[in-house]
Amino acid sequence: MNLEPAIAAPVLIGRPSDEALTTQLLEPMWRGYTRRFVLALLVTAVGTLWLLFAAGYTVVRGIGVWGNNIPVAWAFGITNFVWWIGIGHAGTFISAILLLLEQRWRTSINRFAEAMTLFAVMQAGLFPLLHLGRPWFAYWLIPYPATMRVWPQWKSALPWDAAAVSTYFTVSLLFWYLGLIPDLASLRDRAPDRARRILYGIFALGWRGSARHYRHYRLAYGLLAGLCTPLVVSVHSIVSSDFAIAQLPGWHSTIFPPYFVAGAIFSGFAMVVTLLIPIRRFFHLENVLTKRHLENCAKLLLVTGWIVFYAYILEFFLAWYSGDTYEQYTHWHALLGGPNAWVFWLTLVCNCVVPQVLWSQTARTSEAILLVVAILINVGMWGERFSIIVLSLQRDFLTSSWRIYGPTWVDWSILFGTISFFSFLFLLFLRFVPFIPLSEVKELKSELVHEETGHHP
Amino acid sequence: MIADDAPYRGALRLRRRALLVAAGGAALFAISLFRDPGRALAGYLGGFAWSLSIVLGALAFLMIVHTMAATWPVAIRRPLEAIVGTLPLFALLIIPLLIGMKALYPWMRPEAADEHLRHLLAHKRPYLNGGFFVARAIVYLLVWNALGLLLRRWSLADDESPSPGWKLRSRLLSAGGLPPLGLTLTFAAFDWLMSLQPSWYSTMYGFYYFAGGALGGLALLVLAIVGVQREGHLVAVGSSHYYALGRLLLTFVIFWGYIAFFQFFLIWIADKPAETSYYLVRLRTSWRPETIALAIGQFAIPFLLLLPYEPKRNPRFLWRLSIFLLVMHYLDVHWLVAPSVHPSGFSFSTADLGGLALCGGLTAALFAHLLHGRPLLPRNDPQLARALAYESR
Repeated sequence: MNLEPAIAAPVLIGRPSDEALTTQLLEPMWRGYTRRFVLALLVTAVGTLWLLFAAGYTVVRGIGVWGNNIPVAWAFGITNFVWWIGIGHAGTFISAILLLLEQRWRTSINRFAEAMTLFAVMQAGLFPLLHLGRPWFAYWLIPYPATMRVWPQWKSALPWDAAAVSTYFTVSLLFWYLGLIPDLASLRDRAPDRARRILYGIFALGWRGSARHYRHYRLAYGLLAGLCTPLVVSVHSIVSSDFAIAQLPGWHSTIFPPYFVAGAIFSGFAMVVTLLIPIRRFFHLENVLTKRHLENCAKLLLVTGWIVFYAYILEFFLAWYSGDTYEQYTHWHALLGGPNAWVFWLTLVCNCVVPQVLWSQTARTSEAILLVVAILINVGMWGERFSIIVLSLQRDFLTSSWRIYGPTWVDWSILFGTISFFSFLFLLFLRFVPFIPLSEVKELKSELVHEETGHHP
Repeated sequence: MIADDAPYRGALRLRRRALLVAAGGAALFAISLFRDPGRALAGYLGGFAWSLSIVLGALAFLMIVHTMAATWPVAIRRPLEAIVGTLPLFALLIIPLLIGMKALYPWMRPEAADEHLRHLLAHKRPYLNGGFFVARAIVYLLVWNALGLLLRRWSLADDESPSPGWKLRSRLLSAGGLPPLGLTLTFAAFDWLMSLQPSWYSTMYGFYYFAGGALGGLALLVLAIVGVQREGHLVAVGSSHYYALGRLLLTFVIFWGYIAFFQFFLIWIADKPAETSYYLVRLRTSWRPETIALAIGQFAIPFLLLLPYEPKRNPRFLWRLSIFLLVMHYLDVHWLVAPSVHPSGFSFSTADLGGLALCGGLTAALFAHLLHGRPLLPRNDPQLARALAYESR
């Protein structure tokens, strides 16, 4: 055992001047399009068009073009929905909870994590809409005073989802935009041409960086962080209720809310790491996105991964303990040995075995290992939702109604289409908005200088 | 101002009083044992599970603090370690439960059960049987004691022979010990509390027991800090430290409310007979007022009181609230135990009072004993200066 004191890597390497930081962090906005970037943009744009096509095909032809059947009426659609919405949670966790916990290392990664949240929630929102079959009636989910007296069914989890997800999106968007305002003003002031000065100027809302502006800004930011915090927990608790309020074995389990929240943060941090490592490389940001950021994300992966592991253990144990035939069958037979059971085994490997390498500091600070682990966790968390939904439904109470599920090309197209669309939006974001919060990094720097020298710079 | 790097000489009065309370509790427990052994043991279990949950909550907090290498809690680590140091006591306190388990747990008497339950108990026998139950209890207590005692010993060793190795060792043990702690705590809650109603189960149960215990552990920590401050110690612990503790109290009030609500809600809405039996007893009999009192007292009131900014920085307020929270947490544990053994209606007997006074009194006495004679600050901790200077607005 190595008992040398482990020195945590710094959150910021070097103490560059404000001027130098502005230049470095705004540089990606002004540089020309490289060939690789254009290629990436093109590939994801084609994928996005393919998503549009597959979604259009679904709407025109109906849900029958998906692999869904009875009893597997929920399959890829809801799996993807839960997967995407879970990914969003890390962004909110970083921006809100870590802010309230006074964790400084959040500063450099909060902006793009929040953007990730927004784009992930956008993908998630597509699936319930498409699954309605007739998405033009989606507004029926809103409890507006309808003259037809059609009212949402409050005992169904669908209106809860609509409320939870739309609140989540709205608050996340406001939070993200509010945090952007000082940086948009920097962009306005540095923009090389008039058109961009005007455009960024409009979005900067007249920010002058005065003490009064900052005072209001801080207040609003703190309040929104407070509002976001319960959302980190509530949204995925509601999503978990989609399953847990049913009586189906494999769905109905009281541990679902905290287990889903932990799983959401787990998958979200996996996505943060998946995005963080390439960004760090391509834009040469090793001084702002340090090993400390990688390591802390890795530690959170380990913690949340263990909560998920814990939930698996309890579910399997209590399924046996309950003595309930159906509970036992679903867990010990359908999940471990039924049709498509390989997905669950893959989930177990990706979510429970693979993250254990993160006990090692070498793994936590190695870009290559961490990236592989994060991608595998992304796969594992998708598999987890697929297992919960499909493997439980395939084998419900009546053997006569058992049916096996298999996805169609439309299912796969929509899944990969959303991944493309997500990446496309993310690439545009990297191009047009400062993805490392300038003002916050500068503030962090002056705090660090203040601590080191004992006086304000 | 009193130097806190010298051994602490207080807490003797607390030790004396706590021992008196424990003696009174022992007398009450003995009397109730003669009247009704099953009920007496249930009362004892309530006091035991209450004290234990608080100590385990403190242990979890200490381990999380070590794992995160958090700064500010270094200033309040010694009282926390004194709470955790009481763990060996529970290896003694469990003995009456192991001796009396036949009177306490229905799964020990399958012949008395109805046919349906008898079938279930036959299924559960590989897990719910006397021998395995005792073996598991030994494993849980070994794990907890190993974690708690080593962490405390290493911290005290750093006072005598300062070395960064002690702290690093504590950090490694804490990080690696958290998964075993979570699992042992959960299964202990299943064994000792959930199996009182052996047909019922809830995957959330471990979280529920932990949430209440963590809240209790933090409340006790606040009491300890305010207590030694009133004697003129730990003067450097200021309003920012209280603010941090107050925020944690608020967090765990919300966490408990969240867990309690969702466990109830999911069972209520799915309405499966095997699960609802638990809440039927607690909501449709004269247990109902206690259930409502819990929702208001363990969640609504402390939530609203802790929400504003100022109270969280006020030691006097936190002191009062912590006493209230510990009382509510006892009610919570009582609510877990007593309705299962007394399903016909509300019951609070001398047995409950005796168990509470005996277990709680002994724990408090040992806590005072451990606090006495040691410095109140880990004087050689490299983070100590920054921990004392911690500021949060």
